[in-house]
Amino acid sequence: MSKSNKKIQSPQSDSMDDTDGDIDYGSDEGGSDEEGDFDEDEDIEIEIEGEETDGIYDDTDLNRSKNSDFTSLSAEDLINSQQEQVIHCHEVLGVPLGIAGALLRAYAWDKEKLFLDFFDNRDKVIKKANVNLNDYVFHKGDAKKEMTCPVCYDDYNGGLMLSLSCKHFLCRRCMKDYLEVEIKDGPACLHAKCPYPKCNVLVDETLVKDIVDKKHYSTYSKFIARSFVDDNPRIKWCPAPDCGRAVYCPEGITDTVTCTCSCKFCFQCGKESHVPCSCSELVKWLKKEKDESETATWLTANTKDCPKCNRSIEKNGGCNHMTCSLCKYEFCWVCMEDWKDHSSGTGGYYKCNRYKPEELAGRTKETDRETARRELQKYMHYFKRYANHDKSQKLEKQLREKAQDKMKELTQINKYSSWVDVEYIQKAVQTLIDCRGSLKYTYVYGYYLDEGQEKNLFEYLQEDLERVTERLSEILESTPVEQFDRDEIIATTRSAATRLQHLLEGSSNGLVVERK
Amino acid sequence: MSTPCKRRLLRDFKKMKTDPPQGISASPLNDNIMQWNAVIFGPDETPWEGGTFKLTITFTEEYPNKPPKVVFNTKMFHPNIYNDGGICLDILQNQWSPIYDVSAILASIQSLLTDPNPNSPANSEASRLYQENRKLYEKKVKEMVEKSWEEEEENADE
Repeated sequence: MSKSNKKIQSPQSDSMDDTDGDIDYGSDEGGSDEEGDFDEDEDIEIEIEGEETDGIYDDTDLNRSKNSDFTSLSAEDLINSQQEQVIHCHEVLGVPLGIAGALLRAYAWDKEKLFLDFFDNRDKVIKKANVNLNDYVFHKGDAKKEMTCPVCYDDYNGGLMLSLSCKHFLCRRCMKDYLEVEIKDGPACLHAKCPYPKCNVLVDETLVKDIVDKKHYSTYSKFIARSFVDDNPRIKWCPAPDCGRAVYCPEGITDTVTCTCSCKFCFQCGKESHVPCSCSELVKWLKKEKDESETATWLTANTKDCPKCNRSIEKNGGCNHMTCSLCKYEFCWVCMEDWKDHSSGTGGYYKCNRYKPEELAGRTKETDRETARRELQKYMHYFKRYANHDKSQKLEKQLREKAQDKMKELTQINKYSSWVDVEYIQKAVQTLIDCRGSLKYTYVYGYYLDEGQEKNLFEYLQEDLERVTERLSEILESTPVEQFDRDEIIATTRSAATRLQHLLEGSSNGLVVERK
Repeated sequence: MSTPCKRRLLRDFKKMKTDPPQGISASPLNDNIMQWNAVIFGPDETPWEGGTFKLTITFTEEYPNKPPKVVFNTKMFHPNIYNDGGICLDILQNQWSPIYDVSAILASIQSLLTDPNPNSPANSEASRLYQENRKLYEKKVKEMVEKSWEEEEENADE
């Protein structure tokens, strides 16, 4: 997907449009609005992401920055949406429901293409999906005759015998057993055919629903729902473990989507959200990380020695502002230098994100080995910071759970404060996690960015965000709950969120476009 | 004894006794209807003529919705039969239908003997000879047929 396609809306107008926002799934599909009367009335409404805007953050709410067109779908929603598509297809094409489902599956749920092909060359479509349109989806035998089931060899009244459009009859019991074994076998049951040798007529969903027991039918429906996601380029599974939801994107233009489970992932590659770096940069980076991991291991080891007293220190929180528990020396975990040099109070800046190529002017003769060494140094510079944010991010996910406790504690301390009054903590933690997530990938992005003005600008934004993120991390982690300064936390959260937005906007609009 | 699978196997057995296909015999073990022994006789006027090829058939409770496992106990030389006696035959895999019964399975295997499919070889030497040197192939088959008699005698001696 080309980045220039990206829909850019101002966050403000966006949140106004959607605050009341339940959207009707599928209404973007041409014509479905007019087809209001479905047989099975399943008007599902799915909540749009980031619905709760409480006025404090709505100018910078990250969940809804510019990509709020996506919809998170639970397993149940998936089955319902899938059924809606089938019903729509059934109504437009005038084919039985079971056949509509088979046609959609044969077309990987591309309804538009199916409709086009169907009205253009109906026979081709029918052949492609192995269905028979000119007949009932299944038959019962002649009730006036006795028939022998060719599977169990029992004789039955014809009325108890079933067949697909091919009129290959089986008794109800044997047909049921056959289908249940197919379903037990896995998702291939969606392509089950008539049980007769070499007969290619596809088993119709209506028949399955009619004869198999509830448990098997629910498995079958799950397979259909799964095919609905797996085959459909506009729907992707949420990668969070045990989530089971999927996210729908109408135009397929979104980079980062957020599932209801709060997992953010890239809609294009399905991995954890990695803005501002691109999918291909991420793949390159991860491969490099794998290749270089042995060299990197020692650098990312969990303990470092205090620069003053040499005592081993393990980092147990996300903040980079370290205080040695023995000598009380305060230093930065990344550059191991005095923390004072980092604060703006002394006129210094948080310099730890900058990589300065060694002065090359004096070096005229450079061997391959030196080049390699320099390349590794550069990589290690970025990797260290990437790994560091990664680690902090993981620790801060634990903080999310702790935040809940802190909020409870606060409501208990002050009897007058309600849950809404302490919700800012949750927001702050979420923003912190978002910032860490993006900061981590800014180092991948930065690694692949050429030296120049853009890079300087980018690093400026990165540095700015990093500083505020560290500040936020520090407030949340090391201040006792009873000393929480609500206004300060809200202000810092907002400041971090704004900087993150600037960085992401800058890298996706300004920098990326010029980078071809 | 009254599962659909076992009832069906009893009926397969009954059919096998009353109307056996030519050159084929099969029956379940005395104490286990899920396990059958079968013999296929080599079709006349082919290199397979006179051979007696033994097989075992193992059914699961999912029969007839799932095919049984069929293996040759006699050492075979055939493009679609593995060294361990396993058979590469579509109706025993993805083309299975619950309409097939024991007699249909064995009849298919019998016709596979004289009509191999060299495109899905299970025995590459047999497959190569079948395509490139039919004479040598038939000679090897005849040798194998004679060996099947020796095996027969050995078993009879025991």
